[in-house]
Amino acid sequence: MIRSRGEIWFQYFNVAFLSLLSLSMILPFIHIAAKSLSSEAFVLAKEVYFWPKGFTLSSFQYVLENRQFFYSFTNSVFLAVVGTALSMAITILAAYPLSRKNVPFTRFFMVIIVITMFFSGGIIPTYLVVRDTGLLNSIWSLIIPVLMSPFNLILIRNFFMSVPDALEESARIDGASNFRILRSIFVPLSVPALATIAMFYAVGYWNSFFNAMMYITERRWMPLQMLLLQLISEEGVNDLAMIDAFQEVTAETIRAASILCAVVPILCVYPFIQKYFVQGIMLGAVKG
Amino acid sequence: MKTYPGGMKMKKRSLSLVGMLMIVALIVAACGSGNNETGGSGVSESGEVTNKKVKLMRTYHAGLEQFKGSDNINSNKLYNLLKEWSGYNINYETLPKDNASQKISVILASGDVPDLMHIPGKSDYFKLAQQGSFEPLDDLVEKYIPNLSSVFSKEQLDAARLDGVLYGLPVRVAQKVGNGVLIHDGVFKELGLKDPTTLDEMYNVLKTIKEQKNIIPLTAAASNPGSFMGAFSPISSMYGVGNTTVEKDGKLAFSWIQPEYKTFLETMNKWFKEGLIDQEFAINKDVKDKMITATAAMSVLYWADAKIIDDAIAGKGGTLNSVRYIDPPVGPNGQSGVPEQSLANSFVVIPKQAKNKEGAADYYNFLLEEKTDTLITFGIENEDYTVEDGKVVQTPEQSNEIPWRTLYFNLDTDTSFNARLGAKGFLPYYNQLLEHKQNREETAYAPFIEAYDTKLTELSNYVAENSIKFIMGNRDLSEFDAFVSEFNAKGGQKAIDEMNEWFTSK
Amino acid sequence: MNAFKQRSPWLRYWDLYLMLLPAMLFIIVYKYVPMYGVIIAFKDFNIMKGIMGSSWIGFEHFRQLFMFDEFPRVVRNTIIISFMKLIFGFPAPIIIALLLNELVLKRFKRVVQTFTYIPHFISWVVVGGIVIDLLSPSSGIINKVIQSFGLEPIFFMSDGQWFRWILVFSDNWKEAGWGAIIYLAAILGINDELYQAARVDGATRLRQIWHVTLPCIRSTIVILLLLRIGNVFDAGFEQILVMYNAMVYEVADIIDTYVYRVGLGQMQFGLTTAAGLFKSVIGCGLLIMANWMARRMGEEGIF
Repeated sequence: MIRSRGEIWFQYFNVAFLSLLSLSMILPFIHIAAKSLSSEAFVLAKEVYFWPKGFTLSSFQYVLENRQFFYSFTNSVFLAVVGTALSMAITILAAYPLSRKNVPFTRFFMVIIVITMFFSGGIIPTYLVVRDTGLLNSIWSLIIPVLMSPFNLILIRNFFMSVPDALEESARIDGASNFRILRSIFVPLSVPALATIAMFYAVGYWNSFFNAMMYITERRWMPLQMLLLQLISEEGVNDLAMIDAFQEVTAETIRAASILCAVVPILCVYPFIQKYFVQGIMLGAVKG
Repeated sequence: MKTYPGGMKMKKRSLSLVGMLMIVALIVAACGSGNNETGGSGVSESGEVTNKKVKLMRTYHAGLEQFKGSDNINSNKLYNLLKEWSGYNINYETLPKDNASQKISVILASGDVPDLMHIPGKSDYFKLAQQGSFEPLDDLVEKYIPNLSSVFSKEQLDAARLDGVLYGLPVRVAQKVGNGVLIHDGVFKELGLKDPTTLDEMYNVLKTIKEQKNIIPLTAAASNPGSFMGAFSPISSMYGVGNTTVEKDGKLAFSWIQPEYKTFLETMNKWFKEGLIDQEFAINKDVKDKMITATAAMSVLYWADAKIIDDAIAGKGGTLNSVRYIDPPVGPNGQSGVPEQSLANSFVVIPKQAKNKEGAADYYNFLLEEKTDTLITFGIENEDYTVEDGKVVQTPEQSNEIPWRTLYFNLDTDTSFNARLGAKGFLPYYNQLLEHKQNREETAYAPFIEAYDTKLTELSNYVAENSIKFIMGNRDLSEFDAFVSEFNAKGGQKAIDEMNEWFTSK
Repeated sequence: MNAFKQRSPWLRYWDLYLMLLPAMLFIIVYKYVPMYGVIIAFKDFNIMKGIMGSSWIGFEHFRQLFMFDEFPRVVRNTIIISFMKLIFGFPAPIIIALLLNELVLKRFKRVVQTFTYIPHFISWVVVGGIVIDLLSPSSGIINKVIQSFGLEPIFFMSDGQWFRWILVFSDNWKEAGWGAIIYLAAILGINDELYQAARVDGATRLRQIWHVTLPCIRSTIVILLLLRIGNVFDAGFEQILVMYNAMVYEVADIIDTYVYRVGLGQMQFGLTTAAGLFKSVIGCGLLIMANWMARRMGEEGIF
């Protein structure tokens, strides 16, 4: 590939800029990691920056010793895996017909779906529906009521729309059914996009806690984020006066360790999906 | 491009589809919302409770995270004894730490309620009581909770009444005082400073620290909403305006609009300009680091923070007891102190739709019995504590082995509070504060007063915002009168007038 | 053929509608069935009487909401902050995605991608704390640099002139890398032949970006822009709540933080639902307008 001088300079600049940017984004993470491995005294004095002071593993020991941590971790992994699979299935199935331009009513269905992005009944009626469908205090209450995100649906539909018509038509002439066309043309052609959306779902499931607070009372089914929020969230000054029985104030180092434990597993997802980030798979097959 | 023929028809059909969807939604909704179960009577003719199943829901408690092994709130040695002794099949659930009031709402709205429930927050409690969510307790108390009279005075119970009816039992707080003036002893010794006892002395001390060491003489954290009032309360108390209200001519008035409050702000403004107050106090979220590193010499802090700071100084190689509380200095008119803290902000209620109201009341009474109280205060005899000369002896290790025992409290007792604080090493700091003069807040004893209780947060937020501006000089103090009329127009006048209707007829 | 066309679309496209069925069932049961709850905004809600049983009070909650002294201020702040974030924040992920795509070293590209998306996972409580520490007039590194030039320290966090920019900047820093992911996926979907053709025509990299990459991801950009416009009333509740203080309430209090700060939300379902409805109606209206404009300009739009 021939490159002009300007382009080479641009490459240098680009690498430098992105390196700086990445550095600025990784430093806070390192800061938290350093805190989690330090002694409380140095953290409270704000003397820990990017290297632990008074090295100790005790805060990790505290977090990981909690048996609830393992229950919650398992719950969250289940949510992220099973929830994402179900969500992807329902969203892909819906996105395909909605992306077809010649099918009637699609616009109407889109309006119906988009409305739900703006208007909701609020927590009380939603809670009643979740209860009436028998999901309370079950891990399914964290999956089924949020099964499909309109946002993700719109994105997948958008990607499906950009698949060239020629491919679909040639398959249809071969007598392929709609389902077959979806499976053998649309899905393989949109792999990077679908992998991205799957990650959006997985992250969404991993990070959600509000529904868990409403629908789960049994601690056995609490997801990780809810457990960690209990450990992390601070008593406000108002709450301190309100404390009915004396509570221990969570140490800063334990907070940092909890944050790490919550974030690191989901961070590992992205490098994994990058495998599917391959330029224009199979698109060479499109002629014309 | 292909289009479906007959676009007009399609639009009409779409509309009728929307209509149909709405109708389906409404029908399903109507079926779902009808829920009016009431429990059958669980009481025999002699008044004995026969329904032995009680479901309880308490607020979040850090103890939940401190169970070891497979123990949990519904399975551990103390729980087993509570179950055995009371004869009740008890089942505990907990509210989440955040969004507790939303969870309470959905539980009450669903009708699927526990028999005994903790409601945090006075205004939530009264709002829900107004809507008829709770069972009136006067009869149940009389029949099933004879032990209650030994715990609460009439005045304390009256503060939980709505229109004369008792809907909830206060969750007693054993803590009497929260904040005090904490000083860095090392700095004081180094400069040869004596504890200030008056406002003038305090000014001189701050001035000396500033001039001789050039560190922050007085710091405070006032960034979080609601934190300003406490951050300077010992100083405003020197002017007699440290509490929410003051009594004047037999009537209550808001402290924040008194001429004394203006004088307080003037002093603070002066101190701020002279660099005696942390220039960053409005953005500080926490001042522990400044006290630990001795970049600040004084601050108003909570007793738990005092120990944390002290430990951190020691942990960094300093000496223990580097910080201590000083007696609140006395103002020009002889006023001083800190606001009293001991009133309950949580309530134990029996929801209207509870299935076993009598059982809940009976179990509540059981928890107040001396034997039970000892169990949940200290644990099991000879295992968690020993008795020597008729006195309970418990080592800190024994106490910290079962830190979750207070989960079973419906109210806190001084015995338990002191025992727990002692075991954790907080008592030396707390006891210093205990000797300070505590100023009683009359409105805390008032029943629910709509115009006052629903407006108080908004009003105090407004005061905090403006006070910070007055102190930092972003609003000139000549505008104090304008501030007063704004405050009154915001509902301050109405709030205090309605409060006085109760106060003057008391 | 003619007879086939005459048939109802439901029969003709039965398999497509069947694919849509699970999604529609979900939408109806969990989104539309509870939607009767919006009437709380027009009712004097009593938790024991339920939503249907509570008495109607018309527009009382809305009147109450609009009557608050601070209401104009918080609406203005919400819109200003949101638009600042839109104008300065929306293009950032696109730029990052384009820059990432230009990287030649594949391994470096992966590392940068992974690093830039980390801040998304760190909550505002933590990020806010770091920002406050960095900008502290007494101990923050930024002010140390400023002071080393002999200048006075700047009170960034309590200065109304600076505060909104700090909100925009920190929001951008936290979310831009995450936002770039979807654009990267769109860029990867571009047919390589288009680039080859451009290269044959002698197009420089810059021209390739302008004539191939951007047009190909245009529909994704439009869709995300439309959705962003619809959410104009979400100016960042958590972020602002963590970062602001009394000195900047005037420029930074948005609807959500104000409602929270003064305790309006506590058990006042009518008022909070009314506030939510107010936000939804305007957001939805803006989306419809923007969508209409996008379609006028030849875009597919959302609906």
